Amino acid sequence: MRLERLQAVEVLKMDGEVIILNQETFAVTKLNGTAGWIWEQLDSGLTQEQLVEKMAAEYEGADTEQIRADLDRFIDQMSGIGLIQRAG
Amino acid sequence: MIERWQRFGSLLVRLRFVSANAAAFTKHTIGDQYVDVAPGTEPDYSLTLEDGYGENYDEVTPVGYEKNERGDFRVSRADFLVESTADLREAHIRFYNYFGLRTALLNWYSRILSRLDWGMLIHSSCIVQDGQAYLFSGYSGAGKSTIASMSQPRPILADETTVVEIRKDGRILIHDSPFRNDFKEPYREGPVPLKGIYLIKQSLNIEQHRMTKSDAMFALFDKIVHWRHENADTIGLIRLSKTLVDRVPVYELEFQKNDRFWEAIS
Repeated sequence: MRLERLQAVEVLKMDGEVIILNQETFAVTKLNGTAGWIWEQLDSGLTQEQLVEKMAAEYEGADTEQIRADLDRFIDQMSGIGLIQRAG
Repeated sequence: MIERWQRFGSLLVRLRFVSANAAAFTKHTIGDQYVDVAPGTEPDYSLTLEDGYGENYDEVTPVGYEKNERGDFRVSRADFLVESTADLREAHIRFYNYFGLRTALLNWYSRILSRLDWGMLIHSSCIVQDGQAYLFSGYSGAGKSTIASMSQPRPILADETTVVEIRKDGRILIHDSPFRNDFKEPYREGPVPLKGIYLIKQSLNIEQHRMTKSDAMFALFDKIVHWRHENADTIGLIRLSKTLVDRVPVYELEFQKNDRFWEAIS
């Protein structure tokens, strides 16, 4: 399952925070550092498992199982808000 | 038709009053700092003002918005009607009373500022000290007028609605506001750079706390004068708000009912 970002958004970066503005609903979502990093990675149509691998490489020393579980929860949340879609 | 010319921020507007009554109401709402212009001058914007329209507003019904295929539009409420060409250059305001006229003027002007990407109107008071502008915003009753009153004799750029210019060169400048409530004396020295934004709260203490940019931006959203008629305008305004908090520090300010907060902020 590829992860796709909502296209109709404005990304505002301020002082290390990333704010995503949904251009249709005007809902705003504030992403912390890790979430912002994940958002950046998703411009190239990764699968969730590929993203887990990238995170394990980026966050050395972190437990891969933990990453997988946390990421799944995060994607569920972002999916619920409508910012990320599990597609294909 | 009575014709007068007036500056709104950096824009030159030709006002046409259908009656002396319309002129009197308008003067009460935005003052009468009319300017003389050379014959043949073209205005940036033209506005016709007509009284005798509609009835009292019920405080509930949302403002109506319609446009035709050319993009010409009408904004309507029980106590006012704004009709405008798509490019905003020619508009006609019909109003019932002061409240209707004031709201119509804010709707008309805020739309122009947004379309030009020039800046925005913020519900706030704004005071000059040492050649810098300090903007004070808060909910109704928080103390914007109190701040203006307590700050005398410092010059007042606004006591209710501040005109904020966001320049492409990086500067944020405050222009004299025509939308005055109690403190009607205009500020004639030209636009003033904005030093800081203070979100105010009356308190037993006098303290200021710097806000993060994102918190500041969110806090300002509901203080900006805007009607969400067109998504593109709203998105543009959000971008301008980001620019504003990127360039100007925003603080929470607790203040007592006196002028001692000036020691804390300057």
